[in-house]
Amino acid sequence: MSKPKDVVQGTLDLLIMKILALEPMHGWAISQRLKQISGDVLQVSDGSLYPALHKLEQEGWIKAEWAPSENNRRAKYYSLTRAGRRELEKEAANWNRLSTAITQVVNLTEA
Amino acid sequence: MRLTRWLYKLPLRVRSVFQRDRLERELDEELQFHIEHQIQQYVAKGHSPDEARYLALRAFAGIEQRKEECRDARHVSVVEHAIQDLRYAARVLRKSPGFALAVVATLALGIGATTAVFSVVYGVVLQPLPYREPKQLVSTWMIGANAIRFPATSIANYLDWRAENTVFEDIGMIKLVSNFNITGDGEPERVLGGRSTASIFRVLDVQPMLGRVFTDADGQVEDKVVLSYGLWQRRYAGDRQILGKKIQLNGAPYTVLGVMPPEFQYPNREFALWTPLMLNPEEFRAALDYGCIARLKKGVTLAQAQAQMAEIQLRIGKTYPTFQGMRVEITPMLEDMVRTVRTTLYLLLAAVLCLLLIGCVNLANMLVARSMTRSHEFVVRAALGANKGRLMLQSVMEVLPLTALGGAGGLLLTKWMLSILVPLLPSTMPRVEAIRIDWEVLAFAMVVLFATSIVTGIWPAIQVLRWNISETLRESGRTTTFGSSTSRLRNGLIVSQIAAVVILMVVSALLIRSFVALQNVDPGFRSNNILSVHLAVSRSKYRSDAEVTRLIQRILERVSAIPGIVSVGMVNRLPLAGGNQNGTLEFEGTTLPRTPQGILQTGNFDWRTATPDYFRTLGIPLIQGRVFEESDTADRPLVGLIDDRVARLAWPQQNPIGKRFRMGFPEAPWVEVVGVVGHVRHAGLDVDPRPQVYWPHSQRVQDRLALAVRGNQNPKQLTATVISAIHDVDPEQPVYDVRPMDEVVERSLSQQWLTMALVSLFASVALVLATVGVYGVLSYSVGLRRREIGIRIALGSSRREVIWTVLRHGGSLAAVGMIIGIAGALFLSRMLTTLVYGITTSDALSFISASLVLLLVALAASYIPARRAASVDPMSVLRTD
Repeated sequence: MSKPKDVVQGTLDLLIMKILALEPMHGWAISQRLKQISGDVLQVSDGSLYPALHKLEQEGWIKAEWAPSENNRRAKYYSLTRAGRRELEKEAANWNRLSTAITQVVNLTEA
Repeated sequence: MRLTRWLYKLPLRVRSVFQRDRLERELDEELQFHIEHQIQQYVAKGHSPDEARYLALRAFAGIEQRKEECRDARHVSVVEHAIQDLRYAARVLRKSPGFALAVVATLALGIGATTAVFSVVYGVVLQPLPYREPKQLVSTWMIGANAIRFPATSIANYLDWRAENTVFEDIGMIKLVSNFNITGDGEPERVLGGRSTASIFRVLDVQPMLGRVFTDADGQVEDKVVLSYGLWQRRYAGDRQILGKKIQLNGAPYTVLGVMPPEFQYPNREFALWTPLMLNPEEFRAALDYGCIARLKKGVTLAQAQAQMAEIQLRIGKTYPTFQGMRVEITPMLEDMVRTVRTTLYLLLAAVLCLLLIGCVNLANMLVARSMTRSHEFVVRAALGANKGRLMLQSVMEVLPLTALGGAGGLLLTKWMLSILVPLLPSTMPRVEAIRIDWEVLAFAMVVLFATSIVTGIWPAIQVLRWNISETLRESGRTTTFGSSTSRLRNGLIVSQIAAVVILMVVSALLIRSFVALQNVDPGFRSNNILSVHLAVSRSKYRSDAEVTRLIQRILERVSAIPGIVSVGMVNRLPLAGGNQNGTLEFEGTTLPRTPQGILQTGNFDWRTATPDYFRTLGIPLIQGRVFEESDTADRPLVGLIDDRVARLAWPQQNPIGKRFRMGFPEAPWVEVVGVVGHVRHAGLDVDPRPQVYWPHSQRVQDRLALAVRGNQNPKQLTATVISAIHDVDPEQPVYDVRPMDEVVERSLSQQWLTMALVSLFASVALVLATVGVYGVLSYSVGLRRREIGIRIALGSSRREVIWTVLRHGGSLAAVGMIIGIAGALFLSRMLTTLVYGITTSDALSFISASLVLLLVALAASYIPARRAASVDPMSVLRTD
């Protein structure tokens, strides 16, 4: 296999929203946090992060603001909107249901 | 939920479209920020700066693609591309203003003319009547045993209908012609008024603008009047104090009850006031002088109403023998109003649509030719990966600014054309005031514009789909020809264009020939040097017949005393002036078929009352016997005149002098025929439904008269002196419809003239367009075949042969188009039967002349490209390619 596989599209959205639920962040920080929390299991290329961010912004789940960053440069900060928060809850619940189901199925075949 | 989400998302989309540049900058900045941090991180891990930059960029896996994905996330690429294409199109068009101007002008003219004609058709024929539930409104016709149709009924009939029917909410009745002379305040003036039942207002369901209308409770006393908005504004300066005041009508006082709103124009726009109609149930049942309208009850169909009314009329016929065999017919009121003009207007609309189609073919050809010269650019782009959808979008977008400009120009032209066209419409055309550019007309213009853009813009776009990229690229450097399918398409377009032009030209030729035939029709009188003046005598002022006779006598004397007057006469209805008075007659000792009641079955005759000099004034020839004389006074034996047609009809092979005739009802007095005069075309030059009989005015007094004055100079110059002579006799006597007799004849042809002029105009424009079309297609094909022609010439083909080849191409296109066009014209012209006169709709001369003109023009248009082909220099052609 040549390139590390990107995470499934919907999953990446969920991860981004979950991260932004804690605090507003710019794209670089989000990418760092993604690496940090998921380690090598989920490979998110920098390339796929930004289109996902822009898509979420157009959907209205997150919104973006320009603000000074730690080193006083202008950076685009993303934060979760109210609609985004609701969407996150819904998607998180979906995910839990789905993953539980899949886990059960996987365990079943092993038994 | 969904809606609020959209409310949130919409501004984002809008921002994406309009702040494209800023968003692009921000995207760059955002990614730059990320990459710089990434580089710092790699440097901190011990990479060299160059290495760090390389790794950071690689982590993005193609930064430009990622940017495109981000843009796609905005979902606006289609809109954005469209805008890009529009900008590009505007740039390209600025570089070829001649092409842009040609397209915009053709579109604007086509849409302008079509919309203008449609405004007229819509305003007059299609637009619903301005009353509540106009579809429920109907009018009644009486149809005689001899199949003659009367748009009228009588009082006794009306009363019976009203009492017996269960299908109408109400029936209203109005006297068809009532003249009112307004005097007392300002100039004396004659207006047309409606003596009507109060139910008229209920049937139409209209409210007065001021005051009230008369009701049944006001009784049948004729002393109240409701004014039209026009009269109120014109004569009384919109004075609200007029309510309750008395005005002098025909010398008697009438109280003004109210004023109607401007849109109330029943029975037509000429009616200036309405007074209560006195319903005398004893009035002769066969006096069909009253127009009737009714409102169908909810849920009652026209057929049901027709059935019940037929039943009622059958019963009336049984009780009153005069009415035996007479039928009643119910027609929708709107249809009734527009019956006479509908065919003409539809013809004009069809003609202008035909013209639009012809223009569209030229547009399509221009656009296709243009897209071909640019085909190389398109094909290269396709080869580089542009998808076909995107290229089609571009083709369409390049046409869009042109159609938008053309549409806007078309609407401006519509306004201008209407300002010219509407005053030219014949005075008899109903609802002219309803013609305007309203929403329906705008919607029509939009549909036409849309259809035009699709029809013309689709061809270049279709070309895109047909391209074979590799083949086209191999023809490197030259314009693409796209093989034979495209030239077939172009030839097909030209053939259909020529067919449409042939149809238009044939119709135009038919109408011109009819009009010439009409102008050569002998009306039975000489119209030159005659001034005609109408007047209506106020019977409340001149009560007895003797008084009216004396008034007329004095006016005739006074006018004939004017220097330069040759002769003066009066008649109750002037020929070709629109008015008429007709009815049945009975002839003594005739062998004509009769109804059991003794009524002549073929009998519908013009009833004329005239003064002795009328015949000399109009130049109506005396064929036998004598005309009326001053001595034919009321107390002398009753006399009459017949025209030569009556003489042949009633007493064939007999001497009519001394025979007797009378009006077709039992109480009418017999009169003795003293002379036979020439027949006059009264109803129109194209129709001649009735022969005439005359009574002397002194023995059958009429209060509505036309004065005919023959002078030895231009009759217009007599106007002032004649009117002042009448006012010398009675200063309060108004006159109306004052015009030279030549003008009366002209006006009677105005509808035919307008149709002929417009269709001929359309046909001429169409011919020019087709010339341009043929020329364009042949020039183009010669341009494409330069190489082939050069080789032919090099191989020994003579220039004459080359010219002949091109001419044959043009000629064969024209011939095929002509054959299709002639077949189409033969089929379509059958619908024109009512519009042509003196020729058949398959008139050979019209068909041949139209085809010949077209063939000659097509060959002439082919000749220039042919010459150009012949002048191809084989050496230069063979070197360049």
